[in-house]
Formats: sequence, structure tokens, C-alpha cells
Amino acid sequence: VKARAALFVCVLCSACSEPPAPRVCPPVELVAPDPLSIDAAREAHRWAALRRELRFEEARAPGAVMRLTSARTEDPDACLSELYVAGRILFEHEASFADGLGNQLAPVGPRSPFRRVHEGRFGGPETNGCRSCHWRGGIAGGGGLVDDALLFGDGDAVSSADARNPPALSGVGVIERLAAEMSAELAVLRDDAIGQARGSGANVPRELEARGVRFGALVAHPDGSLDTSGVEGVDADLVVRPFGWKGTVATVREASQNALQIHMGLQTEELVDERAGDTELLGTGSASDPDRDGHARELTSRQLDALVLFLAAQAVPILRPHERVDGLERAADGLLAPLGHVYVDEWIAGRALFDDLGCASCHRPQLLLLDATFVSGGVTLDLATEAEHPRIRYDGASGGYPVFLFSDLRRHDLGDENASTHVDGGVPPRQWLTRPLWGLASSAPWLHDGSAPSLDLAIARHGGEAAESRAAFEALDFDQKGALRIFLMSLRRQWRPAVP
Amino acid sequence: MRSVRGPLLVLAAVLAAALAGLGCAPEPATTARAGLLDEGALDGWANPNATIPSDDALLDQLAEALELRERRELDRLLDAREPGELFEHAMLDQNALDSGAFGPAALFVVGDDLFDFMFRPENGLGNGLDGPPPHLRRVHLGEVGGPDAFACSSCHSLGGLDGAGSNTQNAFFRGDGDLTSSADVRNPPALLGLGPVEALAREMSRDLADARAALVAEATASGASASVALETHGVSFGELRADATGRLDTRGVVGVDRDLVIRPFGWKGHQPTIRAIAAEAFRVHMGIVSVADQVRVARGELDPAIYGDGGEFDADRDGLSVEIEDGMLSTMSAYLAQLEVPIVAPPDDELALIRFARGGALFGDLGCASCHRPSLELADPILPITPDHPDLADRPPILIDVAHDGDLPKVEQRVVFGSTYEVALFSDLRRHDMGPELATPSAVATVGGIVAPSVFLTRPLWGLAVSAPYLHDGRAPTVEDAILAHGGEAAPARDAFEAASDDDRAALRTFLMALTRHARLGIP
Repeated sequence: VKARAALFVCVLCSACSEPPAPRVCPPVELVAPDPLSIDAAREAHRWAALRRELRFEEARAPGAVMRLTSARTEDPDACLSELYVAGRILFEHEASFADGLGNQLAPVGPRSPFRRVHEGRFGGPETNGCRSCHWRGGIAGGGGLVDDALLFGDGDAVSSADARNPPALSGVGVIERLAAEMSAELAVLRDDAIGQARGSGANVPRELEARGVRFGALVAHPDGSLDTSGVEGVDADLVVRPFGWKGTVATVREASQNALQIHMGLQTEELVDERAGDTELLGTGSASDPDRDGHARELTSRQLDALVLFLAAQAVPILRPHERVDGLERAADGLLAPLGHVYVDEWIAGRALFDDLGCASCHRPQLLLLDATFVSGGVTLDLATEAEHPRIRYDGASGGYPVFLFSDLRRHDLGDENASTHVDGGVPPRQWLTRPLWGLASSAPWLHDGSAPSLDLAIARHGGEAAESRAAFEALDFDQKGALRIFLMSLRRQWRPAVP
Repeated sequence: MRSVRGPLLVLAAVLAAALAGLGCAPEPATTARAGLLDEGALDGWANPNATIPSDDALLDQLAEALELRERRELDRLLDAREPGELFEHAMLDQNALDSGAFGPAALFVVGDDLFDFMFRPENGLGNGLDGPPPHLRRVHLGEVGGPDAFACSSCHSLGGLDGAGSNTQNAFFRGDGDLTSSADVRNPPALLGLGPVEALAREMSRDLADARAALVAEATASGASASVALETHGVSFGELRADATGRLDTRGVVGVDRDLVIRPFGWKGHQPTIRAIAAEAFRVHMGIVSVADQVRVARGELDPAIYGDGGEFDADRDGLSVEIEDGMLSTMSAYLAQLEVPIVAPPDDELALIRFARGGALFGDLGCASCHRPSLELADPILPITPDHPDLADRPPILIDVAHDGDLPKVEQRVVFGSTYEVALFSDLRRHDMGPELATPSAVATVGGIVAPSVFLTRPLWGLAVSAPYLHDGRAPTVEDAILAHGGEAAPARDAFEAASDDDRAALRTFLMALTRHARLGIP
């Protein structure tokens, strides 16, 4: 124990001259530990202790967390578990100016370095860490109404901006893979149509469908060009972009880099390289330090690897009918003990109503993932065996991994009642990606602007293509509405102990 | 009730571990690791000596957290089945309280639910004063407010339940309803320890009132003008004079309103009680107007331009009459008064512990402690909570023992039974001028006067480590930034900090990062 205490000090201050022993990564376990076990409780406390240690270390030497995670992730042999820890540390880190937080673009700095309403695509920054907005319902959760990001504004007026409620980040690795497979399916259809058009010398129309989701149709011309005016619910390049309320981002990596830039003013080296010259996004400083805060490479590609791994490895939500609440005693003298309730009948009825009302036509209960390998930058993660529990499982009958996402990963017109202020990434104001409903019960309030504190309000705001389903819900009787809500409340995250 | 098992400050264990010696060792051979997150994944990152509760304690904590979670889940399902059930479970009205059946423990449970409850339009969320309710507004419209939130927990969750708010959760007070630049920005403070703070403030106010009464008596009896140095709990509030007729001259009073009422809540210290600040927060953040306020508006005691001109039964014109009545406010106040107090938890690591100790000394030497008083002594821990509806003045108060009721840890007696309670809040509960750099866009009115733009209440620093960002508008990401932004009366202390060596500054920062809260297991 003494030696291990010393080791911690050595690791942090690099005072140790002895080289570490060669690292051997552990085998990946296949048995699910119970998220409500004593081990999970102990681990929650260990995380809290680590956070505390890091706060003291940061107090001693500002920037320590960034340096530590940078140094520890540089090792090309770093185990997944180590990258995961680094990623989680980065996710929970409260960034400071020593880390490159914010920018120094204005000639005279404002009294507060934060700006709540974004200015154009550059962003705020409005905060100092990921957890600030992704906290509800557990780690990497959603945000409250007050946490809404105010995007694409003039830097001051709320009315100039588009409010976006921070979505929960559960299962984003799975979502990225699903979208990529759907994109690949669409690409095959397109390439096949082009091939046929070239061969036959005639126009070839082609219906677009991936995983049973229809994306309109295109026409391939003999010269290899395309008429994509009939394409629906996806960009003309047929790349399914599952992230962002409007479905504008294809990968966790891109979403993370973008968020670090616009919300914290932390510029990853990759973003600065890939988007070089995009001064609207990055700022007008030098090539290596576009936000002119004196910090280049604010996050290395390996740190980004770690952060992306942490996010991709997040557990997927569960779908669990409520079974029992008996045996609870009264919480205090004077209060009544809760009555036992079983809602299985309501749940079954609600599940059927979800289909009957038409909810399921966009909020597809299940999409099938064929390959569970998540790859981003320098990390590879098997989502079915290496991610956090609960995770996706192979189903022999369907030949893949059923994902209970409750989305078709396609855009739909939701009517004027939901129209955004700005066109976002080419997506018109009334169009939104079908919001995955998994984890719904853990991520209130709902809708893109977080304006719905109840399910009824969220449903009532559905317009456009969803107007009929809304009307059908409103026509239900009291018991039927109750049943549908009971079903929706069963879409939640696995309970897991945490020490904040 | 959420309890704490095991010692709070294991200083002895920490010291023992620290004295055990320091040396370098090669990384141990690979231990059996399982998944990404199982025990072992943190090896090499975290100090393995960090104090983790015993298995028995962990099981207890887990069972307790799970039970609370199951109760919440049951309430949510009842509400899904029959909307309105959840709200019913989160409220106790005045009639219920008058029955006397509910002790502090019951009020804690119900208040806890109410704190987390997401208000909806059907519960009175928002207002219909200039457009259909709820009319959400991120930037407040004048004193009317938002609403900008659905629940208390929306902005008070950072670092744990009832915690502080992040920068994204900043409130934009007294604005034009749209421009953030028009508003007075406030970062949500943590709510721990409010009970002892209010009890302290009441004691201090009582002392000042006694001094004033004695002064008036002395002046009128002697027929000559007299003066008294106002001081309570070791904190000086200037000088009060009275002429021969007993008329008061308050020009020498400093750091408190001229009515000598200590108002410890709000960044500028503008509300005297938990109840008052809770009622204000319900109104400006959620548009939930208390029945007592509606009655006062109807009686012409409150400004309808602020509270709404809809009359006694729906002042804020959202179609709901009873939004939060006295019993609910009493429940919320009783809950908040019973929350835990933050703790001082020194680092486990030996070198950090040495820095911590030196930082503690520097906190005094640099002058920080002259305003951020490490502790104030509370004599009477019994806090009365009284309804404020004008017609309920005769109801007996709910009595909360802030040293014993509710969540642990609590304030503790200094030495032995019968002595005072030490409230280690790191504040003098007095207002100070912080200079033009920190000044807010607007002054803030209290019942007893006006708080000028550059004047703030000394922010209690307890729980500091888990409440970043810092300062009233959250402009400071680190304590270093916060210290350097101090001006006005704090300029000498800031200069001393700026002039200190790097090591000393690191020591002070280390000390401040030990001001934290008890590590509590929960299931979000």
C-alpha cells in the first residue's frame, strides 16, 4: 500500500527515474457485473476520490490534468481501460485558462470570458466543461432547460439564436455505427444506379432504403451525375448524420471537437488542422492558435481518442417495464407507505398504442446493427463486448445486434411549431432528425429546445409529418394515455450509483 | 433521510498515511483487470490510499440510495398513469402542517421531492402577463423574471444534490427579456448549510437590534446624544448614533442595511430568510407565485407591475390561483434548513497535506480571513419557520434544529455539551465594497435599503471546491482567477496574494480545494 501511494506521486510529478514495466492489457470480461453491486458503489467512491486528487494536483500546478492526460494517452500501447479513464477525466474536467479555455480574439477582454449566446458558428464559449450541460440522469446525461445552448446567434440576443437542449450521450457509439452502416447501404444503391445508368445509357431511377427506412429516390444519369431532388430525410450525399438535433454531424469525434470549440473554446489539434482557414469557426488568430489564447494543440489527437472512446463506450439505455414496488416502508413518520403497483398491463397496452398511433413509424423501435466494431482515430472498441454495461447483444435469429433506439435516423418535417431560427448545416428550419427515444425517462425536459416538462407537452408540440400521430394521441381516453406514458417511462437508463 | 456513516474527517488516518514515507517504486505487475470500469482500471491514476468506505458502509449506502431511487420511480410512474400524482406527493399544504403530524423528517422527504419536481403549466409554471403562459424567457424581463427553469434542481445540482450551478445555468436577472447584455448575471450558489446560516443571521440581527434598543434607551434616559460600536459575533458593522430624543443616525452603519437586519442570502445579501429567497426563486425562475404574495398584491402591499396585475386569485394571469401556498413554502424552507453542511477534507497525499497546512496559515496571513471568517459561533440552533401569509401569523412555527435535523454532516459544538456551535462558513455575513471591476449593472433593493452595484455579501467559501465557476457571475474558472478579480476592500489581500511566491499561491489554492462536501453515494 505504501508503494502504491508513492507510485501515485511518482506518476503525477514524473519524479521517478525507473521506467515502468511493459504493459500487458487485461483480457476483456464477458460476464456482466451488476451495475447496482457493491463493486459499482466502491468504484463510484474511487472516482470521487480521483476527482479530489486531481483537484489538488490542479491547484498545485494549473494545467496538470491536461498534461497528465496528454502524457498518459501518448503511449501507443495504452490499454482501452486507461484511455477510458483519461477520457472520463477529460469529460469531467473543469477547464481553466491554463488549458486554453476561451479565446483572446477581442482587443480588450470582456470582464467575463464567457458568452451565453453564441456568435455565429464560432460559438461562446459559455462554459468550462462537458458535465456542465450533460449531467441529468447520470454521467454523460442530458441538460435542463437552463442548459440550452444558444447557437448561431449575434453573441447577445437570445432571440437571435437557436436554443438546443443538450441531449443525453448514452449509446452514441452504437448510433454512429448504425448511421455508418445505413450510409453504406445507401451508397451501394447509388453506386449501383450509376453503374447501370452508365452501362445502359439511360436514366436509372432508384428507390432509397436502408434498414427498412425510406429516404426517397434518386435518378442516376448516363454521365454519372445524379438527380437528388427526390432524396428525403438525408443530405444529397446520402451520409446519414445521426448527431445534433437536426442530424448534421456524422461522428462522435466530429461532434466532440465541435462542442469543445463552440462551448469551451478548446481547440483540438485535429480541428485546427482539418478546418484550417475556417476563421468563422476557429477564429482569426494564427494557423496554430486560431483563438489567439496562447495555447496551441489544446487537445491532442490522443486525448481526443480517449474522450471519444469514453463517449462511445457509454452504456445503452434499457427498456424495462415496471415490475414491483412493494415492500417500501413509509419514508418518515407522518407519511404513508407507498402502495405496491404493477404496470405490466398498461405497459403492454402502451407498447401497442405506440405502434397504432403511428409513433413507431418515425420512432422506429428497433434498428439492426451488423458490425459492432467502433473505430475512431487510434481507438477500436467492440461495442458488444468492451463497452459499458448494459450494451448491445448479438441476436442469432436476426443476424446482428438489435438496437432499441426508437428512431429511424432520418429527418422529418415537424411543422412550423418547431421551426428553428436558422438553417443549420443546410437543414431547413422545419426539419429535425427523429430524436432517439431510448433513455427518454432519464432526460427530461424534452424537445429540441427543452421546452416540454411533461410527455403530454412534448407530444402536443409534434406537427408537420407527426401531426396525425399527435391528433391520435389527443383523441385517446384517460386510461389509454396513461398506458402510453407508462410505456414511454420504461425507456430509461440503467440505474448506477454515483458519487458526484 | 440521507445519513453519513463513519468519521467525517479522518485527519488522523490521513496523517498516518502521509507519515508512512515516500519513495519511488516500479509499476506493479499487471493486476487482474476486467472491463473498462471495474476495479483496477483506476490503478496508477488514483491514490490507492484514498479513503473509500468499508464494504458494510457501501452496502448501507447502496441500499439507501436504491430505496430513494425506487420511491422516485414509483412517484414518476404514478404520475405517468395519472398526471398530477407527482405534484400531490411533493406538497403539503398549510392545513396538513397545522395537523402537527409532520415532523422535520417528513418535511425533509416531501421537500426533497418538491426540490426535484419539474413544474408544468398546469401547476402554475410561468405567467400570462404578456402572451400565453408559460412564456419561457432565458433573460428575465425586469423584476418579473423568467420563467427560465422548471425545477430547483435545474440550477442547483453541481457537485451533488442541492449544489451550485454551472455557467450555463447562470440567471440573467432584471434584463429586457432578450439581450444578455441587458441583464445582471448571477451564478447559482450551492444551498448546503443554509439552516445554520439563517440561524446565525437571526442571532446577529437580534444582537444588533438589542444594541440599538440599548442605545436609544441610553440616549433618551441621559438626555444626551450617544453612540455605540455595532459588533456581533466578532464582526463589526460600524457605528450607530442617537440624539437626545432617541432619533437614530445610521450614516456610520456599514456592511448591513440601516434596519440592522442581516440578510445572508443572495450574492448581495438581499434576503433575510430561506423562505424569502425560496419564494423569490419560485417566482422569478418558475413563475410560481406564492399565495401570500398574491394576497399582498391584492391588498396593495406589493407592486402589481412585478408580481402581476391579475388580482388576488391569479396575479400572474396564468389561469391558476394556488401555485405555491404557505405549507409548500414551509416544507421547502424546512427541507433546505436541514441540508448538510460542507466539510474540510485535507488531501491524502503527504506533500499536498503540507501545502494544505501552509495554505491555511496563508489564508489568515494574506488577509483573506478578515472577511472570509473561517467560522462564526452559533448559540441557538433552533430555527423557527413561520408562514408569511398575513392571515396565518398566529400559526405555530415549525422548529428545525439545524444542528441535528436532516442530512449529516451538521454543525458541531466547539468543545463540550452546552457550548456554541461552530459554523465554518468562511464568511462574516457582512457586505463589502468589491470595487468597480466586479460591480454589477444594477443595484439591488432590499426591504431595508439598496445594495450598491459594487457591494456584495462576503461569499461563504465552504464547499468551494465543488462549486466552480466562481464569483457572482461565474466569470472565474479557477480560485486563482477569482482571487485576482477581488478589488475594493479586498484589494490589499489580492495584492498580497499576487505578490506571494508561486509555492505560496499553490499552497493557498490547495487549502481552498479542501473546502468541499461529503462524498455521498446516490443513484441519479
